Amino acid sequence: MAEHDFFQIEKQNAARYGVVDGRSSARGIQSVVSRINPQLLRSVIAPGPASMWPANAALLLSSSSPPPVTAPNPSVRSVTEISKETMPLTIFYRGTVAVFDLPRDKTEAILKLAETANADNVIGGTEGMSLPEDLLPMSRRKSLRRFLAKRKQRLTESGPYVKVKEVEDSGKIRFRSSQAGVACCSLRPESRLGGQG
Amino acid sequence: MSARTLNRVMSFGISDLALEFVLGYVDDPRDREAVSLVCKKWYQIDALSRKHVTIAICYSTSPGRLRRRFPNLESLQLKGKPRAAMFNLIPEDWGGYVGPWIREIAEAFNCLKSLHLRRMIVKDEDIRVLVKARGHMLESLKLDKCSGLSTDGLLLVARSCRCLRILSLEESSISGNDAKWIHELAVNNSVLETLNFYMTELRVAPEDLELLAKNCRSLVSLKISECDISYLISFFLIATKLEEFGGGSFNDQVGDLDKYMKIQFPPKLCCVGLIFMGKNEMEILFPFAAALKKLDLQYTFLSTEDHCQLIQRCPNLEVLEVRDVIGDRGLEVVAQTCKKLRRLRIERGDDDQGLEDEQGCVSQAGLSSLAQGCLELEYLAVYVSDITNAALECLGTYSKNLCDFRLVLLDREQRITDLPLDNGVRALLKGCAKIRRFALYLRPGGLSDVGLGYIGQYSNNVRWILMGNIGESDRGLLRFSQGCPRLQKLELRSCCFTERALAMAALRLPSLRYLWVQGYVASPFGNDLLLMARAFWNIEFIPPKHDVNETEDRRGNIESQAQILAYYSLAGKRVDCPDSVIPLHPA
Repeated sequence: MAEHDFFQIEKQNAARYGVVDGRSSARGIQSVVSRINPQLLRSVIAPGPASMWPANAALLLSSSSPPPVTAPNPSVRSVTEISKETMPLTIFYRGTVAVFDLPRDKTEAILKLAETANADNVIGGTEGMSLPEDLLPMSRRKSLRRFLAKRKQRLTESGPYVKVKEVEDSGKIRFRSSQAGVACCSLRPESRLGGQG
Repeated sequence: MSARTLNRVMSFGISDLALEFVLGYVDDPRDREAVSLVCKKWYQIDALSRKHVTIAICYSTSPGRLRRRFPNLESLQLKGKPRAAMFNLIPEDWGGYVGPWIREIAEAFNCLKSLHLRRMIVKDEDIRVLVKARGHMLESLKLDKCSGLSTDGLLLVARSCRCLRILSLEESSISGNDAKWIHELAVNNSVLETLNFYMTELRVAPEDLELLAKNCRSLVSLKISECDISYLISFFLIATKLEEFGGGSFNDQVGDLDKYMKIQFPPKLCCVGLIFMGKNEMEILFPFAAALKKLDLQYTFLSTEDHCQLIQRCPNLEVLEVRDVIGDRGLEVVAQTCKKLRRLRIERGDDDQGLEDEQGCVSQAGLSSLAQGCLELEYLAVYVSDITNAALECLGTYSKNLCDFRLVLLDREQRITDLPLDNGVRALLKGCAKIRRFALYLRPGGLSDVGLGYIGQYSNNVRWILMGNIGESDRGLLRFSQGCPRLQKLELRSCCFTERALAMAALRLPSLRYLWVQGYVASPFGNDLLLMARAFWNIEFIPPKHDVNETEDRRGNIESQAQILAYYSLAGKRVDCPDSVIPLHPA
């Protein structure tokens, strides 16, 4: 199968569905697949008759209201949906297919959840470890962040033939450095050669 | 025995005057502290003769208390916001206002010549009061990562402080676009030795720098904001005593590089850090690379190979600052070439791998080479992409002079070669007995509860610890808190500990006077924090922010996580807390 869909069903203690939009690449999906806790998946998706499954799933979906956004477990993506009042939501997993009829807001909530859950990016080795909340993103020193932003701008916006200097009418030479309006040198031409000593 | 006899006995028959002379040679603050505890007389002599005080958090005491005890201070360092402010984790209005201190300085500290403010809010009005009272005596003014002032304040300093030898504004947020203050400084001052406005957005005019160089013949260190260094050719010719230069920039991407090649650097220049320097421009350093002692490449455009090319010409390097684009290869060159290296800082490069050199990662290989090659290393701060216990053991074996060690494990790689780092950390701490400052920022699974216990057990000398994503449970923290006998300042981030465990740990650590935590298991109302309530222990809480768009921006907003700040204070509850900071105790 070209695309795999995953969702997680968890009960009240750690409940959430994650389903994703169909825009992720197969490779991205596979890499996330490899990170899903297999026990969790197994507990959620039994390779049994598909008819039993959607009923449970639908029940869980409707009962979970605003799903907490703090699951450490990753989820993966791919789903298609048709927009109507209640839309069928199709989920593919390991050869099983399930179709749910969901109102739009529920589907969107699920998609959002899946996106944020996927962004959690928990690396292997955390199996069995329960984290109380999202890992805090590593923050960067201010000075370095400013520099990297300026650098990014210089690398991406100026090609090899773009002159950075702009000579103005008044004779002052200003240097365009960055969006941040970084300090420029202002130089009066007549004093350029003066001041030797 | 009468009090008088007792005093004389305690002073070993030495007269007060003699004692004062002797104590005048005792400078180390720890020695001074010991002296002050001997007896009342020694306390008094210390108090009247103490020259310098560093106040690690300005809310731990009050200006009045400082004045009553040390009226003759010549030098004062004050720190305001928590260290995390450097990483944008503290709201700007958190506090650290220097106003009350300046007023006290203006009224009472008649001997004050040197003021160093770090991460504080300094307004132009504060500067006005300061220079009016002390401008004529001020020899050193350092506003280090401060905010709140404008170039108007700088103008006041420039006009009034004619004895200023050191003026440093590094990384401060200073508003205002005019460069008049530099001109005024150049005109009014003739003794300036150090001028530093590195990493600021201040404007600078080259002709004012030239004037400064002409008038201040003792100028040895100049670090500026961005200004194309091809405009500083004259300056470099005039400032013949210059030993350190930082900042500047290279702006031309097309067009002749000759203008940079024309620069003749001063003969004694040995400390350099040039912004936006690229591969072609770095050649201007080659003629005197062998003399370089300090090199800052954090803000350059060099690749891994460029780092290798440059550093191999610098056998006398003592201080090196780079981004991790230096790579293991670059560290290999450092290990082979820089035998005198004392301080190495390897910062975190761009996460966007397309923008950084592919070889630009530091791992266990680079660290091991470094440890074996640079035996004089005292300070090592490094962001690694991969790590092993063996590398840490190597550091423990070779880096016997290490006093300050900071390791951050980036989350670039999905799989890390060798986790947890329990054994490596133990070997490092056991081997490097001089470590006083220690930081370890990992990921879940990076250090177990056992490893955390090792840190406690083997950190005999450590005064400051920062840990992130370490440990597995409260047990680890409690084990940790059984050790660390000298730990004064503890910062924890993104950990799995409960409030209860944090409170217990704070109570247990015998030397702890400062605790900062962000990312922990909070109780519903912060109640458990009060378990550590006691006299003189201020507990402040910054509750998590709940944005309207919380579900969308859940992880993006770093500042939205709850924070705990607790510290010993003789000044009681803060009176200048913003709404976002809640004093829990005293309430």
